[in-house]
Amino acid sequence: MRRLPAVLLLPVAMAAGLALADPPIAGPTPADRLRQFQRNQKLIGKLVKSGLELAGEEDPLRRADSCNRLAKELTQEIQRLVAGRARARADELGRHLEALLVRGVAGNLTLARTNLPPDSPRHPELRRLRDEALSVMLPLEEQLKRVPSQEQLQGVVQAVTKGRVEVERAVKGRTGTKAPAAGKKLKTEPR
Amino acid sequence: MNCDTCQRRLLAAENPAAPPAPVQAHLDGCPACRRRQRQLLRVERHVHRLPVPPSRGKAEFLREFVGRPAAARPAPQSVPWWRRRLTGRLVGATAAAVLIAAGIYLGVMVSRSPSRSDAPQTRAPEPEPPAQDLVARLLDCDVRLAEANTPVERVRALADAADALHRESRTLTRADGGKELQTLAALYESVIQDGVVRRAQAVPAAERREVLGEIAKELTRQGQEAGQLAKRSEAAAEPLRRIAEAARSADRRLHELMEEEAP
Repeated sequence: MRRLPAVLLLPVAMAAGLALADPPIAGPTPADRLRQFQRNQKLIGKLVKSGLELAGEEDPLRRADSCNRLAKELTQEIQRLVAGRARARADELGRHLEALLVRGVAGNLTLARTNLPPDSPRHPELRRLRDEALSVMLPLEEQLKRVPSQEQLQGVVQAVTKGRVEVERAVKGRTGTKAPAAGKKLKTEPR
Repeated sequence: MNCDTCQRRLLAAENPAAPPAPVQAHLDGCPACRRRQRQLLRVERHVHRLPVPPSRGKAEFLREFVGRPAAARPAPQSVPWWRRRLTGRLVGATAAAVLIAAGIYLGVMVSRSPSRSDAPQTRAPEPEPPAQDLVARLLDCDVRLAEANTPVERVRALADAADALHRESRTLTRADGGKELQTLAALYESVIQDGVVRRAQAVPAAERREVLGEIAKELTRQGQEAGQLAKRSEAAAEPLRRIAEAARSADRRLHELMEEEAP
């Protein structure tokens, strides 16, 4: 019974510890978020602007164009992060770049290709948008080649690899043609 | 919003059965997350059934604790010393187990409750999704807008973008980011006016009550919260009032649209 106070104190201490602890999911502090906001202010403005553009756009080729411009901004931000060794953040944004390239660019190019009649005058526009998407990724691909260890950049590597394959496939259709290696010049085939 | 964020926010929600509008919007289109929500609700429903170790020595423990007169206790000599010791330990261990379980439960409940220092008076804010910062959330909204085929999908994605900006305004208020809040307020206003309100007009009349009602509810909350924050933070009051006003005016407009007759 001499141990009773200790036994009673234990759960109280545990409860107090848990109650006073920070919220269970640890995250960046408000000061960190402020710095992040200051750093990304320009990108945030562009994201809002392109969101409003996309919301008002029905034409898949124009949507793909909007996504291309956004992908360019995002790629530049990722390049800056890779150069600054902020790899976790670069990797996180890499996953979003993949979504943007696959669902935004490739998705809309596929939609346009399937809806355009074979003799449509918009086929050159379709191919131009594909080439633009591929050229947007080039500087990042080049930079990744120079990074000695890509262990923490799997999201970025996957974004450019999958993005390239899907964008090319969107214009060619699912013919099973192998995508050229990253950085290799593309042959533009007429449809 | 992606599945990861949705599931995190479901876990953090006080009532996963009635999650916030953006989460609900994601749930509407994602069977995997709906499954996870059902699992979560099942766990919450059955948690009280978890067995608690039975305490056979409760009466004896209480007698020991309050200190009954020695004469009233059973004759100690009638029980062998080793059994008395064992019983005492059993009672102590059982009581400790029950108390520890209660302590952990209490602790978890208290730590799950919203932030103690900066919770608004009427309704506490939900915890912020830690991994999903503003850039990530806006990107997610843009990708959804890029593949949206209906006005409902568009207006929901825009409402999510507004929610992301509103949440960021709370964070920047805590960090005394007055100048940045001005930028954020301008972005919020444009998403609300040029995005949500404008695209809401294209939502078919038959769907307006359900879709716009949900968004209007969220805007009411955002307006109230920004208004309360504006009262508490002098430095950030002006941009927060702009956010509150934009939310309130959009809320009114959405209600007008809901009242409009189907053509």
